[in-house]
Amino acid sequence: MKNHKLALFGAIILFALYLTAIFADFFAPYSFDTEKRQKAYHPPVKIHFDPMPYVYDYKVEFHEGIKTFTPVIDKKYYIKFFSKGRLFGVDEPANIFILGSDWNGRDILSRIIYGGRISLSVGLIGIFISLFLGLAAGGISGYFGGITDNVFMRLVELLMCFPSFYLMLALRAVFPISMSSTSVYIMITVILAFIGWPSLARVIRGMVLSLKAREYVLAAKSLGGNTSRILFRHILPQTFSYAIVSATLSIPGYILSESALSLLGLGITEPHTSWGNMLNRAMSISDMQLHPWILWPGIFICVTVAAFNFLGDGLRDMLDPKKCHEA
Amino acid sequence: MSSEQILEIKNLKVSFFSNKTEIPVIRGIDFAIGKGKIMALVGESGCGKTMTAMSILGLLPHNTSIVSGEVLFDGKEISKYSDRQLQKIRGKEISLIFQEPGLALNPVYTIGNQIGEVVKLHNRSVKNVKKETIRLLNAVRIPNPEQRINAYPHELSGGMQQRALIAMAIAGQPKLIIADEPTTALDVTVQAQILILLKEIVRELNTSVLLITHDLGIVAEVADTAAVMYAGKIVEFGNVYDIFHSPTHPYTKGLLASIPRLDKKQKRQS
Repeated sequence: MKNHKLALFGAIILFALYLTAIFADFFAPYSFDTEKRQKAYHPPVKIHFDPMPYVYDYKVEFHEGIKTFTPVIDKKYYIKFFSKGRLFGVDEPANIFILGSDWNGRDILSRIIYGGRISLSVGLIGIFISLFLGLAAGGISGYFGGITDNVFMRLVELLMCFPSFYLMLALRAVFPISMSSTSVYIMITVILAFIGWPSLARVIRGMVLSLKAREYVLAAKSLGGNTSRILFRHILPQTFSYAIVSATLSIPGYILSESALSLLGLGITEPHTSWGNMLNRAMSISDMQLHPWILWPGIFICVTVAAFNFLGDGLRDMLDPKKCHEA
Repeated sequence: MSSEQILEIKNLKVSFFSNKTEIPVIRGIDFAIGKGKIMALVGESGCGKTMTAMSILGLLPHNTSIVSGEVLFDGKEISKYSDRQLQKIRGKEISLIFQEPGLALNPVYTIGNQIGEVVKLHNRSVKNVKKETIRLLNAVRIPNPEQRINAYPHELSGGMQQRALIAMAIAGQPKLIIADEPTTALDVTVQAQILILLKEIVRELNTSVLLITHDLGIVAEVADTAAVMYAGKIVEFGNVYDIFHSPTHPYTKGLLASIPRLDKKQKRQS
């Protein structure tokens, strides 16, 4: 880890993001569905220090059809830490919208933190499923060869030649649009995993082809090991270093795909939140111009994807014995 | 007589099949190994020694198969056995020791783990696998077995790796051990140690060994009987004493004459 500062940096960022998402009830100042309708599109509030941090309440006014927010500097609202089971918060009527609020007056930061639960876990669960499918299909195909190999590889090619986004939309269309948010979420992960395994299976198959000719595989056979033992204990573990790196590097793809689906309104639906679904509103140019803070989820997506890539690159360098001496 | 033999091979023929042409590798061989005896199979590279071993265990490469003949192990004809039936024999009744211990051990598991795997597979009555593994490491004279159990193959020397492999081979308490050039990858002093170990194990466990080698020195040292193989045929078979003192086949004579000797002046061949 020492020589891979970027990877360490990525790992720390991801750790922080996952931690806040897991303990969203503690870190987020509001619940994901707390609405302050009068304070819709509230700009980020300024935090003052005296030296304790405090915020002002904001007054809403309309000037020529445009909503303006001006701080009411008569009263200071001190930020209260560890109150009501949350990390921080302020008393009513002031609001602590650090990253502003959305069209329903919901805190963007809180929604990002809660949305991270979905956006960050979809990649992990998806990759677990596709890793499993890819390892199993690639392993079986490479080990048995012949007809089995042919069948699996043609299936892989079939899946790969589908444009993945249309396949995603088509699979989504098979299920009713009025499903609950949780089942939609589970479905999205499964759909993504279903699209994700073929390329992995292909590489694993190639590795298994070369690994099965190793002498220790013959040794395991000669000592009475059966097929599943040889495949799952002696061949597949050798491919793990590749599989782990490939998994880390493909998680961003899952996060982006989920965002894309939710952005199109096919994924997580209101009032539940995910990063893609929060960006849904940012598709309108006028909204984006007037309230640029609704783009924050996009920045979180960028940071997460970059962090995963840093981590994956670092892991690859660390696990690749051929690169050890170059660095 | 036959009950005294652990393994009998009768008129075994093995061929490669490529592009529908048959290339015979083993052209009808016969030999037998007595219980508790060490038999050496000697011959030059490519004469079919390893193929003989692999056909006993049913591990021939996929384009190779037994054409005719019988492999009688403990009185049972095993050459017609299915893969599943053979699986029960491999490691439990017959086990194999490889030429390159460094390649035959899986690099990602500790040797304790790999020996334990064989113990768990073939000796289900053993409750304490770790204890049994340590006992096996002791049996193959690996010092400090309690610590070595956690060593990975690359942390051991070639001789130690071969000992670990022998421990795996004897874990199932097999009746026959096939040692395919077990000392070729080792230097001469370690070779001697491994051969002595093999001999001791045979005495302690009362197993038989089929020792495949091209080194006549090894044959003289450990084997009871020997078969000389040449181009897929056994040209001479008998006890070691007879073969060394009164070879009948010209190939055996040539083989014996090719051993460099210190006590006789020989013409240097260019």
